Amino acid sequence: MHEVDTVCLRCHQKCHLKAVVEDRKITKIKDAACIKGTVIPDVMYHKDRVIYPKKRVGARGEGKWERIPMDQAISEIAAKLKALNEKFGYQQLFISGGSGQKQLADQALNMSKRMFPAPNIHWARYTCVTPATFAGRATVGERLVYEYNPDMRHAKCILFWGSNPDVTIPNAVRHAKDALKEGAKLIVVDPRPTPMAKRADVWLRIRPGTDAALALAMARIIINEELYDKEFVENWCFGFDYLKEHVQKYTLEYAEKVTWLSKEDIVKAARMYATTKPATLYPRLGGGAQHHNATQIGRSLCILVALTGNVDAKGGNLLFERPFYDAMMPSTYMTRFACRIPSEGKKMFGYDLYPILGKPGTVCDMPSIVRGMHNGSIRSLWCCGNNLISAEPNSKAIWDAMLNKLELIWVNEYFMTPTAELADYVLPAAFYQEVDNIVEPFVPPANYVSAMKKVVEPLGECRDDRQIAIDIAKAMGVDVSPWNTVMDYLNWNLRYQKITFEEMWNLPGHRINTPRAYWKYKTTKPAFLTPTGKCELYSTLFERYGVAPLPDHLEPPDSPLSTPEVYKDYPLIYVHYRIHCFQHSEGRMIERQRKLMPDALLEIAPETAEKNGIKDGDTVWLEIFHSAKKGDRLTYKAKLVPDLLPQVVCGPHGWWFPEKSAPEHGCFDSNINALLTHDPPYDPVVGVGQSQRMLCRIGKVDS
Amino acid sequence: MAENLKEKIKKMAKMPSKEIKSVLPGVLGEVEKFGIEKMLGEMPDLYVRLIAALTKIDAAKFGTEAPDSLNKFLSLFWDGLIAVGSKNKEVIDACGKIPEGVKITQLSINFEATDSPLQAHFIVNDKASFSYGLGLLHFKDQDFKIYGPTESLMKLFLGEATLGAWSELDYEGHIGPFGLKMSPILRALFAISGSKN
Repeated sequence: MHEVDTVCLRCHQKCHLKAVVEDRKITKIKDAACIKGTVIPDVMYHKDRVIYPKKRVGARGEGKWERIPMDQAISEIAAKLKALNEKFGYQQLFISGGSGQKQLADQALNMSKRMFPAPNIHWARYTCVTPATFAGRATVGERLVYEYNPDMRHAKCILFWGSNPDVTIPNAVRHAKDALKEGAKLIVVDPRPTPMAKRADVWLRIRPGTDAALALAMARIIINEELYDKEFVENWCFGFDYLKEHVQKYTLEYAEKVTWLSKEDIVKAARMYATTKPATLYPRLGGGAQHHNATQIGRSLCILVALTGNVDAKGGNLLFERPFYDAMMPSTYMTRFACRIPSEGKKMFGYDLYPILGKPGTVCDMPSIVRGMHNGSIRSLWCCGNNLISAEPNSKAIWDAMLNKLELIWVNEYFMTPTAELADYVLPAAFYQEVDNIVEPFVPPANYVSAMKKVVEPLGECRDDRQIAIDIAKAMGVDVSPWNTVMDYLNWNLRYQKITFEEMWNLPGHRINTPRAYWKYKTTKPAFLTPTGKCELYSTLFERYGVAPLPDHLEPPDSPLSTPEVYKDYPLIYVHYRIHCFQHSEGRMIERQRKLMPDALLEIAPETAEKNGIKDGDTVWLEIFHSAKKGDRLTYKAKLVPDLLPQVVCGPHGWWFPEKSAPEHGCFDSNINALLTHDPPYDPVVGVGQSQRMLCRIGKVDS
Repeated sequence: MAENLKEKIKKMAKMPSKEIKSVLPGVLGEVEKFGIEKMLGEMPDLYVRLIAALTKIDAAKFGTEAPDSLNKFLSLFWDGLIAVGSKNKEVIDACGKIPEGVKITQLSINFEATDSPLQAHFIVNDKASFSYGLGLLHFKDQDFKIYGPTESLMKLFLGEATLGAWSELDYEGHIGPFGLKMSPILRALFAISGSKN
């Protein structure tokens, strides 16, 4: 028996762990921060794990498979892909990576972009991460209000905006708790009574979808009461005067009407955030993602960080990526290597609609892809660790295209998900502890990358996603150098450090460190990687691309204010919540995880439940106004949640039931993606449509 | 000879496109014969004028129709820039900063037009020693690539296009060297080529 240092990649956190190995098997995980890490052996050695390649022999979705050798699967896929590329051009392939196998899939996708080549790649996080990314890049040239930017440990004031850190970042939240123990102020913007909301100095129980109105009203208070950081604004910002004029319309009266918050609470929060220094702001999906105005909501939050001088301040929102940039660190998730979009790159789906989105390192437009699947411009699909059917809005349309339209589908997976059930080939993916990898931390102010060495050999014929990408490209006759193997690729990533992966593994902590400095903009030239070189309160980048340079509040397409007539029939607002024991659609088949949450629960305020004749534990239905098919309903088990904003109901996303019959496995039963559409309006920067904060109604399912 | 050549180059600005197309190859040949470094001494805004002429006649189209002339221009461009840049304090200082924080002493950059045969590469090290070549370095040998429309690349060569912040030009490679290591060198070099004096 021996122990090996490793990293859990089952969520974004990347917690460092120890794997106990006995007889070439991982028998136990030590130091896990949550159940997802603890159950790594349960996942790896699960009886249903796919460990040999499968080829479909019946009709698609019929569930008839034959086991074939991996090399045969690779060569057959490569031959079919090559033929399709020759006939239709390589934009006919759509590659989708999910949060599953996240780091590996990210890398495999990016490598494929160059090797196959494939302009149309996409990862499932585009609705949540991408708007925040673009908001930060427009403002300071890199992310500012993403998961790893807030320096919670050193903050004197923490503002959680639509984020539930106890659930989503169980490791990093300890930094916030330490700061709070030392007296840091706490502000929470959330319609849900999260653990942090309950202990907050100010809890703003906001109407979902009105975050920009609140942020801009707070900006107005901060500006008009001269609470802003004059030194930072005058010396390092661009466009303050435009912003000052712009926010004057966001009066307290307006904000109160729109957000359903009291004027007093808004003022209190604005003053507390602006005058308690340093302050950090941590928004997540509730803070504006998955909204047709998502990027501008992110911009309004970035502006708050900038106005208060908390940009890259110790205890503020760090320019977390900058040290990695400076040192040319191979940070695979954050400073993802930007591959040249193939010369047909202008044909990347969505490029014409969203020119900023269509740049290297970004993703194609998903609504355009789904239309392409139906009209024949997309012919083949590779799902690399992505349960696309469960994870993507408009899932019934995707299901239909996969079942009836596409000519080639292959999936790398651990389990037979609904998506895998529709594939022509299912390739067994190696698990994180079965591959060599380089990972970076997700907790500021950490500033290192670590070697993560294979703990055990892959089971059966399981193969690293990146190696599968390389092998398919090679089988198509492509020159893949310098990435002939995954190890070549890892060493290539480390070339600026003049070190090999093996040498890195032998370093203390298996890591390369780089200096962490605060207020880096004061010593770099340009200060910020924006067109003006300044922190752009007024975005010249957006202006150049015809997008509003200053953010505004936009109502959700259907809402109490935008469609009051609809609101009479659909008197509730649907939002998502995250689950501590699962990451997105993963883990439902793992007993120890599932035991913690066996059912898909719909959170309902007790007074709302009573009005609808619902009791805790009842089976309930949910219907949304703008549904893919009018009248379609989802079912959940009711969970009554005191103090939840009564007009709001909350559901988990990505649910499917491995125990239900194939091929659907119940993926349309309790998953909001089955009702969502890819209809407009779309975010003008990243093309995201409305996928939460929509009007809905509920009822009890009669037995 | 210099005065005559200078006059010819200056006159191109007023010529119709068709005429520029016919005289430009000859002008480039004369510049080469005269010596590019010497010519830049006589006419510091040489590149500004040549690129203005190329832009007027649609550089992408011209490059496609007359790739030899395009390559002649690229050779003159890099030859001159290297000759002058290697003695320029700003350029030398920028090059000296390459190793800061990283263990490399050389960066290789490819330039590729997406609408013409323009392809070139440029290698610089921390001692301000430069080399260039026509065509592209293999992916394994490049640190990064800047690519996009010919006209945007021409603007870049004059220091008129923004690097980073998602300009008209796209890039391949790690963001780090592009944004923070290579940019100061390119900026210093292209300040020379973009000189309007």
